[in-house]
Amino acid sequence: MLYYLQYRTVNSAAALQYFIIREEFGLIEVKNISKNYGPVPAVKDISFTVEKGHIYGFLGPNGAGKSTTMNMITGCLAATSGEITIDGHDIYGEAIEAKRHIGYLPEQPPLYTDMTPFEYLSFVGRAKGLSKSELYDQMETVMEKTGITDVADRLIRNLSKGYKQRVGIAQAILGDPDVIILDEPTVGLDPIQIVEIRQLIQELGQSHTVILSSHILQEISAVCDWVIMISKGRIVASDSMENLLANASAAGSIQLETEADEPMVQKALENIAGVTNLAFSKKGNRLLVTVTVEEGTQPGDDIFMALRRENLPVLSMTDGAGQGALEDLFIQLAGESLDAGAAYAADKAAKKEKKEKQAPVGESPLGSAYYDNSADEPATNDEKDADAYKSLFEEKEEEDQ
Amino acid sequence: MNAIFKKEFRSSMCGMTGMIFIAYVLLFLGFHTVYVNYYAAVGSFEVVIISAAFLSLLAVPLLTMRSFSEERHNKTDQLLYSLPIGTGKIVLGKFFGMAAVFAIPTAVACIYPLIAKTYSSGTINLAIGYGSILAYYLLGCAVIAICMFLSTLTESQVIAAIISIGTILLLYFTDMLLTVLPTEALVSLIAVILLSLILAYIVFASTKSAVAGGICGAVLIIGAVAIYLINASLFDGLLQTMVGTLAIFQPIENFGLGTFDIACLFRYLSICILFIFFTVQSFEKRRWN
Repeated sequence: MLYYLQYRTVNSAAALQYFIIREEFGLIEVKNISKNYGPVPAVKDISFTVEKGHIYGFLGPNGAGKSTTMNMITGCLAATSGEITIDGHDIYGEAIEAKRHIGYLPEQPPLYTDMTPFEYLSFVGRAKGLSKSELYDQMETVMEKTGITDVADRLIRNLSKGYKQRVGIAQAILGDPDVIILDEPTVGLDPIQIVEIRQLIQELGQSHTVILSSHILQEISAVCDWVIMISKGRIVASDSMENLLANASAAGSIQLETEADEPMVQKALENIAGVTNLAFSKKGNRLLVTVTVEEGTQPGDDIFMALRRENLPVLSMTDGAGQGALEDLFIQLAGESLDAGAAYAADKAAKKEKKEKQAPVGESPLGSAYYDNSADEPATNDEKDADAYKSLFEEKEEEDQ
Repeated sequence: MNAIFKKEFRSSMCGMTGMIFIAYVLLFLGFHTVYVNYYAAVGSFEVVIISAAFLSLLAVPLLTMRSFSEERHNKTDQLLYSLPIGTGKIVLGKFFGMAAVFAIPTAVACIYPLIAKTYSSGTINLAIGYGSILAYYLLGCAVIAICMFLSTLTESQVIAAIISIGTILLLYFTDMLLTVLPTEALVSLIAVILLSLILAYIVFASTKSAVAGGICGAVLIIGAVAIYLINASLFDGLLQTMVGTLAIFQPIENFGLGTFDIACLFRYLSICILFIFFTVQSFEKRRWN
């Protein structure tokens, strides 16, 4: 008995130590990985650690190296140099052990379209080594979680894009892996589906570690609590969402929309403490004012009251410390990385680089690419969009009835 | 491996290709059986197998063309790479899935010798008949392995099918090529040197090391030249022997002479193993590109 107790204690101490060591190492360790496609470097010397229990956002414009990095973490692609370990297992050396910890949804869901979701998931489950009873239990929960129970017996070929994406996510979470890696999971979905998929990701984040890649900032800020920004194959920032927002709002700005003349607004705001600069532009008969604010001050209330005293109607007022500031920060960080990579770019694409340098200040080539990409996605307040979208259809249904 | 096997077998059988393949093979086996066994009144089944082997196996690309190129085209290979299964098991699962589809018409063909035996007045050697069916099955598996490897080389099913049919034709007509090849030792030496250079290039391409490729090529060429200088007669007809190894449709004809050719069975098995190995390498290499 005593011996047994002693054995138990020793064993649990060892288990605890093992747990602590694993915690120290992080769930995923990426050390100095690079990937070249022929002579073209796609990812340059990236290192980061993924800890348990967070939702990580992998943010970067198209072609920044997000998918390449994700493919390397999941073993779909071999790194040119560097090391990746998943829960202490090397992704190439101990591939099978390492891959047991990962569920992966690539950019294009890897679906066999001649199968039904039920058949597809049972294939993936068996391939992941689940026993028959485990498989059917898990399939039931997974299909319920992703909302595909109703379409389980239809051919995947005939499903809508949103459902295909759900089947892809279901495949990734089958086998209950520690980390779920989703590469641009909301691309090409309608606003309702986007919100639903985001909710699903947040739910998954409660029980799993999730890594989510996207070129849409709103998505990352809506779902993730840790952000890794990547640009031109390099990591430009890796921090918690709060810290990033705090940094971003340090030197912020306030946007105003008013129906007043420029001189009147100038007069009303010139003596407010914390206001360093005013910039004006016209939108129809309205005046748009960008107030640059001194670091560490929050003169929002004073600005509003000053305009109120002068009887100048404020139609809208946005504090720059938020989405806008984060976007600015991203463009700024990405821009810095562009400068760092300029030596290579000068060698390889001298002409292209020349063009980029001629672009007007504030419209860095990366920045414009970034905005272009987000243009076809709902840019702001997706929830509102989704509501509007829903109500539109509900109204239509009522009319039909 | 089991999951991949079941998936491969199922997708062949549920799709059109598997069914068409089975129908095609049965059509040619059946046609030759009727022609040889019933019209010509030759009771031995090995003759049927020998005459039907090439034409019926021309349909193999139908089965194999989609195996890897479709995965690559639909990007489902990313799922296979990220699953906790080794590359070897993925390839084996697929190979056995296709071999299982081919087993269906072969199993049906196993009834034919019995029919001939029932109605024949002469003596029929069933052992040789079933031996030839086994050889035919293994030959089919060897062709499946070769075509499966070719399917890993391209993203397009059509190109995979065309290359595969071309290869089968080449393997079949190698026999005719042998009669026009020169037998001089010097020609054989040149062929060996060329082969050495190709091998050296493969080593260079896969290791990215010019030193490794150079050493490999130099050792092979110097060795070949040295052997030639010591005893040139060793090279007599070597070119024929080398090219002859490609003629995989010929050994099965030994069954027609009434011999149960075990060497032939081993040869087909080793072709299967070799090309499964090549397929694994080719599938693995795609990750490193």
